Formats: sequence, C-alpha cells, structure tokens
Amino acid sequence: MRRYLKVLALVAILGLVAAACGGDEGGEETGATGTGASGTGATGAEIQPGGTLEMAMLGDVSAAFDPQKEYYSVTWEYYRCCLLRTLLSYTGTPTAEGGADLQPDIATDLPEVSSDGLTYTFTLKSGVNYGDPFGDVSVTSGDIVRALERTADPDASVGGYNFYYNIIEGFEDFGAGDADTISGLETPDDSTLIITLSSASGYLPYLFAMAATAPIPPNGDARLGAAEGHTEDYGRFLVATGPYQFAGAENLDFSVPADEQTPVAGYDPGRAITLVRNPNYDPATDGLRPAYVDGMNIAIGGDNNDLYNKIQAGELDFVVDGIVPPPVLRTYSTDPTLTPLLHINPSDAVRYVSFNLAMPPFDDIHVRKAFNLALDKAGMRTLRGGESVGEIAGHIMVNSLQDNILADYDPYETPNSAGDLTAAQAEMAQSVYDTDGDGVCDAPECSNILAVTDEADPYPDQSALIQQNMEPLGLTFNVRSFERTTMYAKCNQPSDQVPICLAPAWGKDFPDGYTFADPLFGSAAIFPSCCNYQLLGASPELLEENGYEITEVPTADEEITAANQQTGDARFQAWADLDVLLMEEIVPWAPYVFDNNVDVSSQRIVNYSFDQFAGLAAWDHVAIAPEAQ
Amino acid sequence: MAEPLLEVKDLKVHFPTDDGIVKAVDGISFTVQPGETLGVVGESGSGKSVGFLTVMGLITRQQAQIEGEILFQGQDLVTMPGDEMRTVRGEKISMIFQDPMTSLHPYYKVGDQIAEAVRTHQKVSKREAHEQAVEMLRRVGIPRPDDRADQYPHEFSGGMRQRAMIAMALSLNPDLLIADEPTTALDVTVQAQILDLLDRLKEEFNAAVIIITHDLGVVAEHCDHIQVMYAGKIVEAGDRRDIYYNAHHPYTWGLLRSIPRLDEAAVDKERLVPIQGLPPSLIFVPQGCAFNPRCPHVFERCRTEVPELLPADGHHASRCHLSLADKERIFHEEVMART
Amino acid sequence: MGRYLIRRTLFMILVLFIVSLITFIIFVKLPAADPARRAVGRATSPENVEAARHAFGLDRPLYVQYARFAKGLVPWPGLFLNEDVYFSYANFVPVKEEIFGRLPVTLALAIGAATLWLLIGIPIGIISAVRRRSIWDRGAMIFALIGVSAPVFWLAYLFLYIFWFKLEWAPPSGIPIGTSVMEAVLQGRFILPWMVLSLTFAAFYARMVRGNLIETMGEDYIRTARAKGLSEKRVIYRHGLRAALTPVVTMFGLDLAGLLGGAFITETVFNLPGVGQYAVNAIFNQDFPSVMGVTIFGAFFIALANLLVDVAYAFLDPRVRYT
Repeated sequence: MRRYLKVLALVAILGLVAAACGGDEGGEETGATGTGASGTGATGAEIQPGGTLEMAMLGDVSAAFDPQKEYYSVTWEYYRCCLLRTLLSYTGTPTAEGGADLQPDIATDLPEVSSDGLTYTFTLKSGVNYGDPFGDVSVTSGDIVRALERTADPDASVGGYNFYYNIIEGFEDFGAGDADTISGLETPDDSTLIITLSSASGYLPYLFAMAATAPIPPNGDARLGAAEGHTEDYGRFLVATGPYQFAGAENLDFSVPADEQTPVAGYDPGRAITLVRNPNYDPATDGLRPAYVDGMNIAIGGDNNDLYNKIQAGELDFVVDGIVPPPVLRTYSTDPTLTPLLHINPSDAVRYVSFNLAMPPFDDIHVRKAFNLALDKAGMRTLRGGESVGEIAGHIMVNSLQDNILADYDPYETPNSAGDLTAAQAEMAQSVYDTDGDGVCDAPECSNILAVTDEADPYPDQSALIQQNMEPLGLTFNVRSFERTTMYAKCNQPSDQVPICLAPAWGKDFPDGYTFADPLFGSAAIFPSCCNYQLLGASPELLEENGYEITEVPTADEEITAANQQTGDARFQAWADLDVLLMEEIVPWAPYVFDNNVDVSSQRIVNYSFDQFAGLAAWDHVAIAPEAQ
Repeated sequence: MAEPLLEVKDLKVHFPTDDGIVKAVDGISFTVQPGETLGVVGESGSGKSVGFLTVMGLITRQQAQIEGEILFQGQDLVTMPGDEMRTVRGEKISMIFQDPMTSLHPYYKVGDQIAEAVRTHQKVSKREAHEQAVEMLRRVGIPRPDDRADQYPHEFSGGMRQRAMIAMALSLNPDLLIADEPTTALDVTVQAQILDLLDRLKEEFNAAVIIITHDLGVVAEHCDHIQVMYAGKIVEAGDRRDIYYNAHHPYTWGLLRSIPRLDEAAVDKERLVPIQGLPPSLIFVPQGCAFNPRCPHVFERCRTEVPELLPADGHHASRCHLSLADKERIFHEEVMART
Repeated sequence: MGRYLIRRTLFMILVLFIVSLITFIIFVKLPAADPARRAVGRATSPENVEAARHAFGLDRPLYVQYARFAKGLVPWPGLFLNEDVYFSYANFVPVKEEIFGRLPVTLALAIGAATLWLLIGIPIGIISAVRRRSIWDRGAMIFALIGVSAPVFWLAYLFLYIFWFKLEWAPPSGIPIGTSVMEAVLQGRFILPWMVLSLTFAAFYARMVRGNLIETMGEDYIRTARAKGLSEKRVIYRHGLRAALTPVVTMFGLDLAGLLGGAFITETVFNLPGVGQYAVNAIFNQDFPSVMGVTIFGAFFIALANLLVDVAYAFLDPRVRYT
C-alpha cells in the first residue's frame, strides 16, 4: 500500500492545489502545453542540448530503484526517460500526441501476435549497449528473460507488480520454484524473444514497456547476471541502458562477490540522485528520447512550499512529487509571463465512491443508481478546488484508455452535474427499501449507514456534501474518518463489512483498460488482493465466510476476460462496453472526477513535455534555454 | 555618655504595593551603645526584621520608601552610597539569620564561604583567609575545624550551621552583630548553647549585639536593653529589669504571659496565655492605639488617639494611655501574680 | 558510585526495552492493515503479500519477530542495531549506516543551535531576572512568549521566505549534492536552521533562567551573601547563578540528546539530511526497521544523557550523592 500512497500523493496534488485555483484554464491548458517533440521550446527558441536539470523530490523512490520492486510512477519516469530501455516504450508526450501508444524501443517493431493471441514474437535491435560498467555488452533476448526470471522471484519482486505477468506460461511455476525455466519464454537467438501465454491477453505488450522487463546484463555464470546476490538492493547497482546512468556507474565492480560490491555513488538513498550521460548510449538506436540535458541532480527531501519558491527563484527546475501550493498556482495562472510555465494535463486517474454490493441498502441497484443521480459532482469538484482539478467523471475508465469513445457518456448526467433530486427519487421509489414508493428510503437499512472516508482535506467537506445530497433520499450516514492507509485497508477488508467508501481513487499502471478492470472489478482482486472493494464477483462461500447475509452479487469476470482477449480498436471498444455495463447494469461506483496533473517548471526550461505514461514531465524532452545552461 | 554606636532616628520603612502602602516600620528611634546587647521583641510582622535589614542596607531605597536617619558611628547609612555601604556591611555590621539551614549556600564549602567574607574586606591570600576561617570555626566551638571547613553545609547539624554563621559574621571582627531570631529554628538545648556562645563572643570581640526575637524568654538573660515592637512602632523600651519586673504595656504583658517556663509548663499549662487575636495588617493599621482591638484593658481614648511613647523614667518608656498607676497595678495583680 | 552506575545502566536497558516494545506494538500490532500489505503495491496478488510477509519476517511468531529486534537493543558492537534486522524495507540500506551517515548533519545542527540558544537564552534570562519588571525584562519575556509559542514549522518557513527568498541574505535550504557538512556550515547553510531551532529553545531557556534566578535571589543564602558585603555582581554571578543554572544543565543535557535523535521539523523543512529527517521519512514510509532503529537510537541517547546528567548533578550539587 505504500506505493499506492505515493501514487495517490501525486493524484492528491490536484486536490490540494485546487483550493486556490477554481480557474477555468483546465481543459484549454492541456492543449497549450503539448508542444512535445516539435523541436522548439515554449519560447520558440531553438533547442540546444546541454546543461544540468536541478530537481527536487520530497520523498525518495519507493524501492531504491530496484526495477522489479518499483511500483511508483515517479521511478517509472526515471526509468522511461533516462535509465532503462525496454522492448517497447512511449514517446514521453501527452495522449493527444500519442503518449499513450506503445512504440518499439529495444525491439525493432511492435511484437508479432499469433492468430490465437497466445504467442508474441519480439525482434531486438542490434547495437543497443549497456551503460557502465558493461559498455561493451549488447542487449540480448536472454537478458530480457533474465529480468523476467527475477520478476517471477517473489523475494526480488516484493512490492512489485509481477502478478500481471502470470499470463505467461510457466511464470508462476518458476516463481514458486516448481520449474527451472519459464516455459513460455523462448530465445531461438540473441535477437528473438518468443512469448507464449496460457490465455490470450491483449495487454501483454504493455508489460514489455515496464521496467520489470528491462534487460539485466549477464555476469559470468550468474543466473541473474549483474543482479545476482542483490535480491534486495539491485537498484543500487543498476546497470543502465538509457541515455543516462547513475553518476559513478563506471566504478561498479561486478567481478567481486555481491556483498563486497560498493553501491553506485549517484544514488544516495533518501538524500540525492545524480544522473549523467551514459557514454555507451547510441542515439541512433533510439527514436524516442531526445535527451537534451547533460545530466540531472535530484535532491531528496525538503518542504513543499520552500521547494516551489526555489522554482520561482530559479534554484530548481522541477519538483518531481510536489503539490503546487495554491498561492503559487494563482501566481502562475494569472501572470502572463508565467502561464507558459504552468502545465495542466489529465493524469489518468479517477475519484469515486464505492458501494459494497453485499451490504444493504447498496445491494439494491436502484439505491446505487439513485446515489449516482443525487450526487453533486460539480460540488465535489469545487471542494477539491474547481475546474482545474479535472473533468467531471461520467463513467469509470479514463477516456484515454478507451480512445475517447465514451468522452461524452454519462448515464447519470444531471443539469450542471449538480445532481438531480427528482430523478434520484424516482429511482429510489423502485427500491425495495422504499416501501411506500415515495422516493425516500424508509427502511431501517437506510439510516445511519457506516461510511468510511479519508481524514485528510478535502474529504471531510466532501463527506458533508454527500450527506447533504443523500439526506432527501432517506439515506443517512455514520461517517468514520481514517488515515488514508487505514481507510484503504478497511475498504478492502470484506470482514469489516463497510457498506460504502467515500474517498477512493485509482490511477492507471499502464495505458490499457485492463489496469482499470481486473484490479478493481475482477473477483481475484478481492482481499487478500486488492482493490475490488465492491466484492464484485465474490463467491457465496466468500460472502458467507465474512459474515454477509447476502450471498449473491453480480460479477463481471467473464466480460473482463473477454475484453482482455481483444486487440487493436476492438480492445478500446471492449473496454468501453465493459464500462457501460458496469455503469448501467452493475453500478458499483459513483465516479465524480477524472484528475488532472498540475506542474510548474522554472523559467529556463524550454520544450516542456508531459509524459502520459508516468504522469510527469518527460525529462528527456525538456531542455534548458541556451543562455541558462 | 560616649557617642552611641548606632543611633536610629524616626526611621520609617514603607513598601508601596498594589493594595496600599505597607508601613512595616513606622517611626522608630533608639540607640545602641558600644558593647551593649539590645533585645528587640515582637510578633512576626511587627517590623522588627525589616527595621534591621534596613540598618544592614539589605533593604534599599529602590525597594522601599525609607525616611529618617540611621547613624552608625556618626555616618548616616540611609544616604550612604551602595559601594560605601558594602564596606560597612559585613565588616563593621554583620548579621546572622533565623534559619541556618537555608542561610548558607548549599553548593559551597563552609570554610570557603567564611573565607569569602574575609577576602571581601581584607587583602589577604586565599590561604590566609582559609586559615582565618578555620580559626573562626574553632572559636565558635566547632570540633575538628580543619576538616569541617572543607565540608558542605548539608553535612552540618542545625546548631553547627548557626555556629558557622556566627563564625562568618564575626570573622571580620564587626562592631555590631545583628542576630535575627538566631535560635528559633533550633532545639531548645542548642538554643541555650548558641545564646551563651553569643554572650561569650560578644565579650571576646567586644561587639555590640542586637538580638531580634519573638520570644521574650530568649532575651531575658542576655540583653541589657529590650524594646518591644508592635505594628511597626516601638511600644515599650527599657532595660531588662523594667521589662521583666515592671512592664507598662498590655502587649508586653501578653508576651510575658506567653513565655513557656521549662520547669512549670508541664505542671500548669493554664498559665501559658497566648495573646488574643492576630497582629494587624500593616496597610490598614487600626485607628488610635494599634493594639486596641486586642487589648483587654481598652477604653474609649485608645480607639481614637494614638498614644505617644512616653518615658516613665530615664530608661523606661511605653506607648499606652493607661495611667502609670493603673499600669503598675495591673502588672502586679495580673501579670506578676500569674508568672 | 559503581553500583549506582550498574543499576542505572540496567535501568537504561529496561527503558530501551520498553520503548522498543511500545514501538513494536504500535507498528506491528496496532495498525488496521497488515504491514506486509502496506508494503506491497496497490494492486497485488496473495502470493506477493505472502512474499512480503516472509521478507519482513512477519510469518514468524510475534515473540520471534520482537526478539530479533530486541537483540539490537544491547549497546554492544555487533549487536546494537545489527544489520540483519535493522535493514530498511524502503531503500535496502542498513539502518545503522543511514543513522551514522546522517549523524554529522544532525550534530552540526544540534551543536550550533545549542551554542546559539545558550548564548542567547542565558544572558536574556539573567538580564530579565536582574532587571525585573524593567523594559528589558518585558521585552525579553515578549520574545520568550513568541519563541515558545511560534510553531517551528512556521518559523522555519517564514525565515526561509524572508531571509532567503525575499531578502537573499541567507543561502537557500538544503545541502547541495556533493557538499560536505563542513563546507555547508562554511557556506552558511546552517545559519537559518540554527536560528530557527535555537529560537524556541532560547526562549524557553531565557524563561527558565529568569525564573530560577528570581527564585534563587530570594533565597536566604543570597541574603547572607549580601550581608557579607559582597558586590551585587558577585552575589548574582557567584551565588545566584551557581544555583540557578544547575537545573539548566540537566535540561540542556536532555535537550541536546533529544536533538541528536533528530530535529524532525527543522531538518525536514530545511532539507538537512540528518537523523530527524530520516525518522520522518521512515514513519511516512512505514519502514518499520528504520522507525525502530531511529527510535532506539534516540532513546539510547536520551537515556544516556539522563545518566550523564545525573552523574554531572552529583558534581554540581554537593547535596546529591549516589550510592
């Protein structure tokens, strides 16, 4: 959950910012920021490579840069832009500019897929070399297998996302120690990787744009190569493939036993990260990363407000994981000379209220629909800071994952998104809990419903608004606030029988609907997995074990599996269909806002680009104005 | 008569407070001759300590309104600058206090504290000062003074500490020693020893001594003259015989009646009669005679007219409206008969 | 004295034991969520939770888990905060290495601030006590009130904003990458943190010294000192302060030790990579071995300081003797 917290912290940025803004630059700004790979800076000046980016991070990365363990979007940006190349990758641009589309990176092209969808074949480019100290070693398909074997090892992957790879044949068996190799991986030669799946899964290519599959160089006979003996701390010995590497990587010595090796100097855990150019990187093999700056210094720690003052003072270029303080946001959105330095982009995350389908009165779909209709979504957004925090959410999955098919879809649309009590009461009247059918719930189940929320701002205000919205429907709540981690734990624990969770949020892991489908609505994502708080697809046994009286709940497992088998445009449509099914037939949520990411950069930064994959500035695209280098 | 050692003329010490002016000392006059022992008696709050702290210069004009004169060897201490006053204090006039437990600095060795007094006023080496301190401790009757000088106050018993205080006070051979309730905190047997010691040292050092006490019994055998204070004023003054055998003020009578007698107290407790009532507030002193609310012999005049300190003869004076005849009659009938 | 020291040392170990047990219970037993669950990613699988559980030793009986940590309590090389157990979940660095690596920063901060607050607090306290009710006294006590009540966080931010951002008199927060602690001190990067950290303490010490000195100056032995004819200066400095400062020494020992365990807020706001910042991060990341390590480290210093202060007291106050 720790990683989750950090991901959420980024998402929460918007919430806090919002307080000040209330501006209307939201959507419009998004377009204005995407000057992307056009080759000129925001000021129109010619881009000149050079200079060092000065950045700050409030907190360290989550697992000391171990590619198998890092489940944190900030680290993912370090990997994508700078340190690790993968078979596939992204352009480091917003969705509108193709930033959510997979691109070949180490692979020559996107994989060839067999007609049954079970076999994927990657061909590797030649001449992609490692960084120091393996500058003369080229990446081979076996190095990818090595990374996957390390990913399959539960000890090396603690906290990671290896469950996504269970679709590869033999992956779980290898991880459990029941097999010597992963049977679904074949390397007929050094430049070919053939992957066999146990069931068709259209999201497989996305997995090969994740750092868990970044090649690990061989080291003598060691099975795990350079990572051998570094089950916990390979991140501190990381061998790069990207345009940058940790400072001092040339001093890494893998010829001595692992416990005698000295970690790389360029990463001082909790204190500093220093990236320098990788002398062995050949830009000719890479069409994705302009890599303008010569290096990056990232100081870890500090006070959020102070760090943003440093951006204004020109001491810093970016605060990687900060929350733009309201006064700063105000300054940047009103001062015309600063406006180009303010960047607002959709962060591919949704905020919602989740219903426990096995707890009265939310076992009744009419109650859930009435809730959706009565909720003042605009009010919820205002409490988070207004329009700049994001778009009103009319459905579950963020639009970029569905190619905007549902961009204008909202089955519970109300005037000004402010809620429609009449429609809601009409819906409530059909509920078994409204015995006299007057649109006001009169059953005892509707009063004093236990509701769990986050104790941090602005959630207390949001819960008050929800209570105010639902009161005319006869729904009254007993709201309990918790620290965020505890809140999620309570919502996720079926035996706690929490009927409604008021404050969850979810962001994508990779740009595919699967990361919004399976972990949120698949029956496998019920405790002890995460994060199916609704108990969608829960078996009667599970419900009984956890003390529920209701033993039958809807499921979407089949639809999720079916959608996951699709590829290409059919896949977008399939996720959209699933979304519609969920919104209209199951109604597990009341989604209310799709979050934006708000960022500011220093005066000397030109050519800002937003990387849609990690939801952060693309540091390989940004450049420093020549006069400021 | 030779020039008096100390002559206090109409001394007033008033403390301004938020509640009003506290008239701790309200016009007292007396003299002390060289080598004389003066007893000053009164309840707590009668102004006796304040008066003598003023004489010591420990109450200054920054803290209180001080009027009148304090002539010591002909010099007025009231107007004397602080620096000069310090050469008098400790060297020519020294003082010992009621509670020997708290009057010595707990963090310094006893010998050093005495030596510090010596070195403050005399140009002597540390070593000489230390030797003097040891010698003083010996003279006040502390056994093994060499060792004792290197001990801390908490290693001394109460009586020993008071002896050490006396040693400190006498270390510079002062002309006047003021002892403020020197025995109050001590055991009865130790009290007698300390008072005897004071007597002996007075002879040895040829100093005048003022003993301040609330207990007339204490000063009985040790004082040449006695003055009784009440509410910031002297209500009766005389030599020892005058006070014990011919007291003229009802307050003094009360004090006499409250003296515990070691021999009789156990047998006849009725004889110990405390004075009725409480001492007056020094802010709102009763009209007329300050003692009138507590006086068993009060009559109309007492409530309106402040009595003067009138001499009965050359050495005996009192501040009471009763006629001399009445005073003598009541004293003999009610006080002498019962004590 | 020997027996006393042994007794106190045993007592210190007991204190560490209790502190560690409480920390253990708070972090392992009380949270609503399984620590392993907190450590794994948001979306996860039961296998991953199990793996995390195993990696952190949470699959062993509770007493075994605690015993592993308890061994690190013994102040003995090789045992104290041993690397087998006191190894960060978050960045895979031995806790001891982190703490000792960060100690110079904390030391520079604490010692500089302590010097400053003594230099400010004690003289202010003396002046206010001696010139009681004067304009100086009132001014000093207003300073003390502000210093004591101003939140450090706010002060830190305010100082940075005014003295760095607006006036540019002081260097910005943080220690630049590759700069040693000594160089940072020489660059003046500790000036604002020292000021902020010392202000609260200076205010507190000024009040304490003033109170103590006023109380002491009313003692009988001060009257005795004056009666000896000592100069007022000597009365105040030799007799008054001697007694008034003794409790300050105790306070100072504990405060300084507390700071060695980390000046949490100051280090965080000024981005000084000291022990306090580490502690805050560890708590924020719910990195249990680090939290445990830094707590024990801090508790150890405080317990040690307690012992030293008590021993020092015996030298400062002759009435106190230990047997």
